[in-house]
Amino acid sequence: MLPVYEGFQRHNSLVGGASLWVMQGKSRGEYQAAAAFLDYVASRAEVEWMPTVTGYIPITNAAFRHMQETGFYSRPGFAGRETAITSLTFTPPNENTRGIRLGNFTSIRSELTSEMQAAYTGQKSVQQALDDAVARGNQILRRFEQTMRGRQLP
Amino acid sequence: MSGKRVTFKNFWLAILLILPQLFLVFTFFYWPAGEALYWAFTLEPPFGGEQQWVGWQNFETVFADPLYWNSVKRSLLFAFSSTALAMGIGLLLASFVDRQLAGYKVYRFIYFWPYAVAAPAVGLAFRFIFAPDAGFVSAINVWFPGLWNPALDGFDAMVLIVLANAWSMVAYNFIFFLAGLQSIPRSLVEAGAMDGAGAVRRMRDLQLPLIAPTFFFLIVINITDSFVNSFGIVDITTGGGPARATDLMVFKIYSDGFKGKDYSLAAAQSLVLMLMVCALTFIQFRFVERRVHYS
Repeated sequence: MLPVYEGFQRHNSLVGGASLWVMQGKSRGEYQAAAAFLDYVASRAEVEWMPTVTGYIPITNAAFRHMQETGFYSRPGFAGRETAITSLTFTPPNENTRGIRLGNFTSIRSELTSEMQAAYTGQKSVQQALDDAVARGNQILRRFEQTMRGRQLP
Repeated sequence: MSGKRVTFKNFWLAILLILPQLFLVFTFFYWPAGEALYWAFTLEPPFGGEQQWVGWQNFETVFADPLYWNSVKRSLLFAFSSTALAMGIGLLLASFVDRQLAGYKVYRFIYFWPYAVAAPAVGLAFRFIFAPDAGFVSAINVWFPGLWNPALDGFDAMVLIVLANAWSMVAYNFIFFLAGLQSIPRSLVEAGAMDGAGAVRRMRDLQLPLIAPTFFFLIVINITDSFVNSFGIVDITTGGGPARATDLMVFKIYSDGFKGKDYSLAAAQSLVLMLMVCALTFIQFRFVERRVHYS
């Protein structure tokens, strides 16, 4: 795992990546199909296949334990991949490390990325870059709020 | 213009034959453009539902955003430098082939190939060749450590996308310049040569003025193309970075609309881009075309 500065406490790393959503207002048959699909995606064979061919993490703890037991992480080609799981589950997630769910999150993330690039390339101080990212993110959230006005979000 | 107008006897057959094409143009151009016009004045929820009419708010948001003006500036820089580069090299290659230097028959054939390569493929090739750590061009960093790194240096990233875009446009310009140069009567060029004018002199005072219409046409096409067609290259090579150094207008439209799911903001930006390209073309016709003489 990446080192942390002395005097700082290590927390679990933030989960990112894609997510699947089932939208409301569909017919019963469509929900049955969606449920069957989610069931398939979360089945152990699928969950284990994905990390094997892509290097991504297994998305369920059960699959991770099973892969440990069958010696996946001690095989030469795959050793070291368990570091990602160790990092993600290092501490129980708290308010700041449980992953982010925001309106137009992809926009906000890309603003953050651009501002961090500005900081890393020396165009801004880190504090300035983070302040700017907050300001940009808030503008995006205000637009999202206005777009979704009067709507109850799940 | 007076004279006979061309008329078709089988008018309805003609209509029938162009109908499929008109249908495609309508479905993939006019309809989306009309939809974008409407979205630009509403707030459009990304997953459907009722939109609200907000008047000019989207445009006000776009124009009040300093980062939008940043992307306008980058787009202008990109368009003008890649146009200048692509037309300069295209003209140079065309004049070599026109002068029938060794192997010109082969070159006349293969110089057009790059134009057939799709923009994302161009981007991928340039990304590999110009990768600062492992690409062919990374040799520069062996001699001058840290000189070339488009992932960290905004200037390098801009150079990379300008080169990639120019490379694919050179082919197009080459063909048009060559056709223009070959339409000039040989006797004119030979007369110039007999009067002692060198190759550069003949190009400047004789050939360039004679192919001015071609030159003008290519300026319009190149600038328009650089504005609207650069998305594939930017997306594959730099992704708009580092720190928005290559965040061109088309790329910003894509990232705000399709990644950020703010369709209304993207629609407003695409209208601004369309009007800007129209305005640039208008300016070129108004001020540059006056100096072009069609024979």
